[in-house]
Amino acid sequence: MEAKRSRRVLIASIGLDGHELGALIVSSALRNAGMEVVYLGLNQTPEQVVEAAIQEDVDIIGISSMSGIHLAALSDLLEYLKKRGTQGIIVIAGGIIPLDDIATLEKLGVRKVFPEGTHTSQIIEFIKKEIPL
Amino acid sequence: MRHDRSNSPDKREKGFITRSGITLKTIYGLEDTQDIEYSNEIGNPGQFPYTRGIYPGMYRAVPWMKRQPMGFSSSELTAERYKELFKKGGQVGYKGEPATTLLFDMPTNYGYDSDNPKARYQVGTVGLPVDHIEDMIAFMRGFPMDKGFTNMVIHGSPAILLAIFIAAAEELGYSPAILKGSGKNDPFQSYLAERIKLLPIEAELKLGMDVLEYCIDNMPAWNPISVSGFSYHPSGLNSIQELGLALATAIAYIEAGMQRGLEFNRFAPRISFFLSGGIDFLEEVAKFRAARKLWARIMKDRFKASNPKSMLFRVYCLTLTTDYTAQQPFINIIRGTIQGLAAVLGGVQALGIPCYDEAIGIPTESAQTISIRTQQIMEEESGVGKTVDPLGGSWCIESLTKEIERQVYDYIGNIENMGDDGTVLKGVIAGIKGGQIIKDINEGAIKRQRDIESGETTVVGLNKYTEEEYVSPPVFRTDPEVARMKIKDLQEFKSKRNLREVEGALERLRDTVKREQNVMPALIEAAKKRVTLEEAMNVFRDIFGEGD
Repeated sequence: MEAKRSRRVLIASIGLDGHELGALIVSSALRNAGMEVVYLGLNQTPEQVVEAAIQEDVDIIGISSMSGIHLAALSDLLEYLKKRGTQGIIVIAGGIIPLDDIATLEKLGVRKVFPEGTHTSQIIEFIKKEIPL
Repeated sequence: MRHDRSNSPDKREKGFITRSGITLKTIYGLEDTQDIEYSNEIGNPGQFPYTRGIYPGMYRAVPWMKRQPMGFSSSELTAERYKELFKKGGQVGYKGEPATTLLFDMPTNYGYDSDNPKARYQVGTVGLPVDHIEDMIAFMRGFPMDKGFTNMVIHGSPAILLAIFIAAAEELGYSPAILKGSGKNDPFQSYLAERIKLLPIEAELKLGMDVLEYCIDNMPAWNPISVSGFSYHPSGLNSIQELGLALATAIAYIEAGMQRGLEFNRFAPRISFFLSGGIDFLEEVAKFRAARKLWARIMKDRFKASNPKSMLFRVYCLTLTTDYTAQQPFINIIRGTIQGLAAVLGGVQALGIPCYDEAIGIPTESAQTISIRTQQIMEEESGVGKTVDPLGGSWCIESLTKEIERQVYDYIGNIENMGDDGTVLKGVIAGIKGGQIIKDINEGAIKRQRDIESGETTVVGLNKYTEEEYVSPPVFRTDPEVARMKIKDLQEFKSKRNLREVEGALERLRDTVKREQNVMPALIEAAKKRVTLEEAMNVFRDIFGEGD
């Protein structure tokens, strides 16, 4: 298999929620930084996200959570990832996530949480470090 | 603690601009307003064009309503929270009667029942779950429908939710004629801001007009369309664009109503507005003044309104949550105060101040209390309401008012030009279908983020004066057990009802839709026969197709 020439990131939001803002902003920033972004969009299930991630052969899954469902949704996502044997894909999350929950999410297997107010350059730097080319 | 200097070049070289991009002069003076003719362009409060206020006495006669948006977990818990807030003097209408703004959970907004697999994670998390009439009855048992004012912020299914509301009130013995309040009923906003597109836009508009027609005939104290500009702002527009789009969509709804054959003077007075209140103090005061003037002029010039009541811009302001930060959250209390004060000086009819923990989750009761106290101090200590439009006559404020009016007219004109028949209605629909309006909104959001990241826009605590460690306020969590109970109760409810009556009601609803009749009577009957929200929505989905 030939080496990937750019980093591939899937961005999605789980569950019923129309707050697309953060996901759009991050997608735009990652594209401007030369990454390939698969924008899956709103109202996805954890299973849909994982299947799309496998199909699109992404390095990173980025989940936007804007209505407080992060613990349940990401826990299900990571469990399904494990079930599919695709733990090589790194999961990151962002949105309206209280500080208190970050440690819990990281323990569940989320590699990094980028809460409200994150500078998009932090996400870019993180991804570049995690996925060296 | 570190002081960060933001990276932007010295602002003195770039000029001083408002959040919406108006350049402010060093000083305003007489020469800036001497061409403004007072009686034509400003007028006294209560006189056309209502720039100074829609009523002569404003807060001297009637205070503004104080309504905090609320809703979570279940009807019982929401009613309980409402009662607590009312005890604190919050959630009150013009005469101190109970008033509330209800938010619904995502499944309800998306037209799904709590037990639908798609509702996973979201039952009761950001609003009240309403699956059927008994959920609404449970809330109403805690809220006096005969005295109170209910504002319902519902996205994808306003006709169904209003029908459930009416059915519940009737079952409790209240006539729809006495119900006071307002419902969002703004499908253009659902498409553009909430991104909830359950049915094709034409179908949603048709149902919206059904609601309008029904309310004209049966609910004189209800505001059947609350044009909701608010969410355009967090989505990416600035205050002036938000006002422009709100007014454009309002014009479109009026045109739709008239095309439908509804009598203008009967429904125009019942249209109300829901706008954001931003942090740029001077601009916000001017914005609300410009809004009144714009609406009065639009109604008079475009629609030849003769009834003065048709020209009054009645607005509920919710201060702008995207001005808040998750960092150092207690400082959001200051932001809410500045935003709220601008809205009061701007002359709004109702005000809500989102809580300081809004950037972290839905509010705790103590955070709600602070927002309530903020309004009480504004009203009873600051004295700003003791005279009407105190900033009127300020050379700066009058100049800004005039400039905002000019920009909003341009904005509406652009929307009108998106259509091909000279109506704003066609323009809005074309702008939605062609993607232009959403594109502008999204680009606004991206630019706003860029300006914050570059330091061009200062946000205290976020890109300047940051703290290494910051305090996490108490986080409100909905109890997942309550969501589980809701689903269990729903399944029991569905199995206990008379399925023949349910089927019969659904059949009648289907028939009504196919005959293109007003759906409200059939929806109300369906609610009484224990049809669920999703079952009713599925009739619409089947016949109209899905949205987008």
